Amino acid sequence: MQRHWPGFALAEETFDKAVWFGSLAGLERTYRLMIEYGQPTKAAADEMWRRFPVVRVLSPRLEPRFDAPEEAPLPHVYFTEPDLTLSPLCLFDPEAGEWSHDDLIALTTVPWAADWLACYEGWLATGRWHGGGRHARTPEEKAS
Amino acid sequence: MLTVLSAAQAEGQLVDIRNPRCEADRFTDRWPENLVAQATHIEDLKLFRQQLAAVMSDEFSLEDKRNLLALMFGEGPARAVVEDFAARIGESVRQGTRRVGVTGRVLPAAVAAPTIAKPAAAQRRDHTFYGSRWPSK
Repeated sequence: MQRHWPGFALAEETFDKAVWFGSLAGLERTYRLMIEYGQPTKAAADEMWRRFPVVRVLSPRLEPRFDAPEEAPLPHVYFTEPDLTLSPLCLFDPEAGEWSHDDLIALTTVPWAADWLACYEGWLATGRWHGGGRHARTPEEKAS
Repeated sequence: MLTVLSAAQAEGQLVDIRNPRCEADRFTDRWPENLVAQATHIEDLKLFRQQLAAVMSDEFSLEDKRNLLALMFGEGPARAVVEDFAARIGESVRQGTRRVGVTGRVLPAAVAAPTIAKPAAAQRRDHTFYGSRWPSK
């Protein structure tokens, strides 16, 4: 991570978990992010950060737009309440196998987060999400 | 331009610009018509310079800059240029043609010359933004 992204530093490390804090430049602003990742266990319901690296924007805080024409109130996140602004970013399609535990976070998650931030700034300014993507199907959609 | 105008204004004179190929040809023979018009133009230029500096700075969001551009050039052109910019960035992300600098800045391939943005590793790796839907939708 340090070699590819000198703006990131390891803040916490245990035998099966790591947390990084670091900065990425968006189009116009620089954002501070947290990446949390841990080794998966055999438990059926692992925490999200054991299934894939969880990226949150710490500052400046994400700005929900409930009136945005597209992707309101925030684009491509896993909505987390009560504080939407700390919702993890959705950077890849897990059903398409775009990321695996064999992948380096520095070569996948971090540049994908940079992509998300660039598209997010465009969305804030225009209300349109130009980065593409899809959403998880609802139980009703899966059943039909 | 601002320096020349300000110098003339400080001397209580109208700016006098001549055609360098024909000294008798005075470009400013009809404008500014008086010192008040000249002073107004000087203030407008100073404001424009400040606005341009704000557009070029890193202290404002793209949304802030869109609003500023709307003040400078009108809502339609400002919206169009920001829409085009956002669409170009988004397309380069979707197509995987963008470059990501070591600071994380994303640049469309067309402008991502090595001298502008030293590329980070792993520039090409397809990914699809995903996520949950907002429950109320």
